[in-house]
Amino acid sequence: MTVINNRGVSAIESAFERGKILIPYLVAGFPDEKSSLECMKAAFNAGADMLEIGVPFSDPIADGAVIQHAQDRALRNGMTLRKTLRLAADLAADQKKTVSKPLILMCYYNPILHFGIERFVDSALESGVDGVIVPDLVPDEAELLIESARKKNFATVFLAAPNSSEKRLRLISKSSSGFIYALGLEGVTGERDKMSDKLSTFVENIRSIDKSENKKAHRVGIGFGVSKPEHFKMLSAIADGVIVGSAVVRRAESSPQAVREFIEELRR
Amino acid sequence: MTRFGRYGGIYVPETLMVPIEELTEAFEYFRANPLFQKELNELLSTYAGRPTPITFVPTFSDKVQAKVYLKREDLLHTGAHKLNNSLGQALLAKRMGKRRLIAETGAGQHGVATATAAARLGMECVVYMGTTDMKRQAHNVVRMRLLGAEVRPVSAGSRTLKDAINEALRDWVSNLASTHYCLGSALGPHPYPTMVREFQRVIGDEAKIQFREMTGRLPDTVVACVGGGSNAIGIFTAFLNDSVKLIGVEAGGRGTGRGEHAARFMFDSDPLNHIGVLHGTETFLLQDEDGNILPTYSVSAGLDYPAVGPEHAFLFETKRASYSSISDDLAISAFKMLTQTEGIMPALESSHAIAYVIREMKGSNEFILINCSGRGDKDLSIVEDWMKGHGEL
Repeated sequence: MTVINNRGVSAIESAFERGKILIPYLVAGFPDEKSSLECMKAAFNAGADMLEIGVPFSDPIADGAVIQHAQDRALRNGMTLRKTLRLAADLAADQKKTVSKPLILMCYYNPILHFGIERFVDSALESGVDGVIVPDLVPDEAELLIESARKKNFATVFLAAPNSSEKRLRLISKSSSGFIYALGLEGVTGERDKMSDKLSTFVENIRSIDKSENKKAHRVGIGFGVSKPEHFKMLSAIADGVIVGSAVVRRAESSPQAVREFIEELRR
Repeated sequence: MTRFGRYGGIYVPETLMVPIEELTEAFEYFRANPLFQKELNELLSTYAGRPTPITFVPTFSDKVQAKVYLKREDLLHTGAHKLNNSLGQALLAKRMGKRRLIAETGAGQHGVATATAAARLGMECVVYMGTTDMKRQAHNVVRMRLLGAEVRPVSAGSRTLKDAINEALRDWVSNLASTHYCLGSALGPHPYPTMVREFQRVIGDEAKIQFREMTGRLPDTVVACVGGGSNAIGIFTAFLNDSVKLIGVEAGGRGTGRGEHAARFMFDSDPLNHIGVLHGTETFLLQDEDGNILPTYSVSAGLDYPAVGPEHAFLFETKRASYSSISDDLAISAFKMLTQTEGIMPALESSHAIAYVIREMKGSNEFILINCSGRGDKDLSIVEDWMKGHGEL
């Protein structure tokens, strides 16, 4: 039980204790299996506080061109949910040599449903994965996942959109564990030149609703659209953590070194 | 109610939840609104050409030794049943203050119908279409462009209907304020399966009255092809509470192997392995061991899709309807047979339903109603190639 107690939701929450945190996203199996693991290690070595590992899916409806391309390539390389869990286990084992930072999966719903929800939660925890983000699953349809996850202290991170109503933000707040993922835009993943200037109000809104819903307030991570150091700076002033996806994935295509340099640049 | 038994639901990115709530409210309001209904009915009768007739096909009937009637959706403006839904959704979108319609299309019929509705109602229109489908349904691409729509090629994945829906969903989530997603089949997140059924049920409502007038009775069996399932649910709905057999016909393609067909109900292992979530809905679908969606194949672009509408999944599970599949070859033979015996050239999609009657109901002597969901003009080059390949031309 001790192992479980410091993993899952607890591991994610302690990562946020470190201050404003950086959460890069990488696709398992892109550009190939071995390089993707190297990129993940490089991201951690360069100062990532938590890692979001994308599980490739045949129909990634929430993703823009860069991540679509990466997922497609990863699928061609034979990457699957099962193999992603193995990759995560390798990464977690490597991490334990130093300091153990949390891993979360970003996975579309069908692979999880097909794998079996309870089995997924158990296997993920066994592989050193602390939580999951499911981009096409809203809390309204997530009863089974939330129930299985709660029993094991596994985090279910739900997304809050700029257009989510107050009623929906309450539901998202009630259903999330680990943190709440605020979407930086209405649209699909991908780098944007400019981030909206309304994001500060949006995050404040999430925080105030969250405070009235829960005794212990959630941390708020923000992602989608982030492309450069100025964005990271601006968003980490607003939220507790920043997720950087496409901009990191694009660099993963060239080399783990490029990932490392970019994350160092963001961190500077 | 967002579900049909366990099937259906709303599996979408959070950003679509509020737009979906707004759409649901607008649909519930306008479906009971007499002024909206009047406007839609006027468009359907004076613009689209409703009611479409029922045609008894005597020579074909002799050949199959049954009494066969066709519901002639092929005679609807733009050549298929799709316009019923596109006009309904376009009118609804306009009432909701949207100025831009987006749509996916496989065979091109839903794209043409939506482009047509947009032209008539003065709205912008963008249609997503897989590049494989653009090639095999090239005439419909020209039609859409002439109608003023922008056709955006989709070259991801299998480059067919599934990928066009992915792209339309991505467009919708990025352009919520201006845009209504006019989904063309009885699938997707709630309220689409219900909304599309309600706009298509006019097919069965009319057919039931017409069939009675012509024969003094109801049909023994109603047969329709099933891709996503909009024409089938459109004709089935009126007969759900009658003792009428309902049969949906899927695309058997060129074999039973992976990627060779689009027959979602054709399986011999545990049904639970064949249920999943795609494009916002929980239903029967074609997937691999890892939950990735399998590629599909059919000579008919309109049936070439890996998931089936959730209400069909429910009708299958409760055994209220039964489902079968027809190969490419049999569909093309049926296309030729109906054309030669009756001078009616059905779409390759509808030809699957006709082929089912030839294969399974010969000598039954039953009263059979087939939904002739579209006309075959769009398929001439495919049939021509097939005939050349078989030394018939």
